[in-house]
Amino acid sequence: MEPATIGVMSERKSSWPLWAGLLLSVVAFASYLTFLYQYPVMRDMPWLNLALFAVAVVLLVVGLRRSFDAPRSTGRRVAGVVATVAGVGVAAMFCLLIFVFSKQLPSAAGAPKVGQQAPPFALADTSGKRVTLEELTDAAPKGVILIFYRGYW
Amino acid sequence: MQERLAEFKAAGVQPVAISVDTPQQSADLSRKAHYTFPLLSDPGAKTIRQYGILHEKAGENGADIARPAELLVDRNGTVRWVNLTGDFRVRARPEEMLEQARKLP
Repeated sequence: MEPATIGVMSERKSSWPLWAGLLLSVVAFASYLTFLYQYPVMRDMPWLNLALFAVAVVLLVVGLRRSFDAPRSTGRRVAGVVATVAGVGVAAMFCLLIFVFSKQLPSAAGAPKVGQQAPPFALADTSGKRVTLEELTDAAPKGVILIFYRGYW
Repeated sequence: MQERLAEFKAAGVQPVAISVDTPQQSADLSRKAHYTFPLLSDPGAKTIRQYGILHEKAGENGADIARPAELLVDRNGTVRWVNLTGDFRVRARPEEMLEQARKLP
């Protein structure tokens, strides 16, 4: 076999962890935002996504090391660094989102306490009709559960 | 929530969802998600503010929205259970709310 052919083959063989790592990192992020968050277990602690990121980072590091193994062109090294930074960046963004941003809530010290009266309200339902808390509690056999949510804007 | 609605009904407790969404937005959500419990609109976040759970400028274009919260209110209007999350991804699970609902006299 010609030396050049061997070079191309080994290069192909050695670059897959880099791209697989980058792809896996993107998949780990996207899968949470698109469907995994719907499962309470995943939403509360996305261990599957974190595991995927861990594998992705290992692949990226392996790929990066390979891209720096001699003899390599500058192009390969740049690609290695760029892919690794991008993949690790995606993982870091995910961790920030999960462990920092989503916990940044203002104090709710003013919220009603158990035993206090719930503040009365009159709000429009989906048909625009005004509904009061009193009407709701009167209509329910035992009570109502008010679920405040962020909304879909 | 919708899946467990029969259990809430059996417990005698009516779920009511509240957000800053307009009635139209809530109607769209209800239709898409096939919700059959009421969704109430508080576009100015007046009620949300009264409930002390305002999350200022956290919505679209800096709008004030509600931080997630669940309150169980009995027929006398008394609060019987409150769940205030420290992480807006983490909400009370239906089984948790049902357990509390079943405790109502």
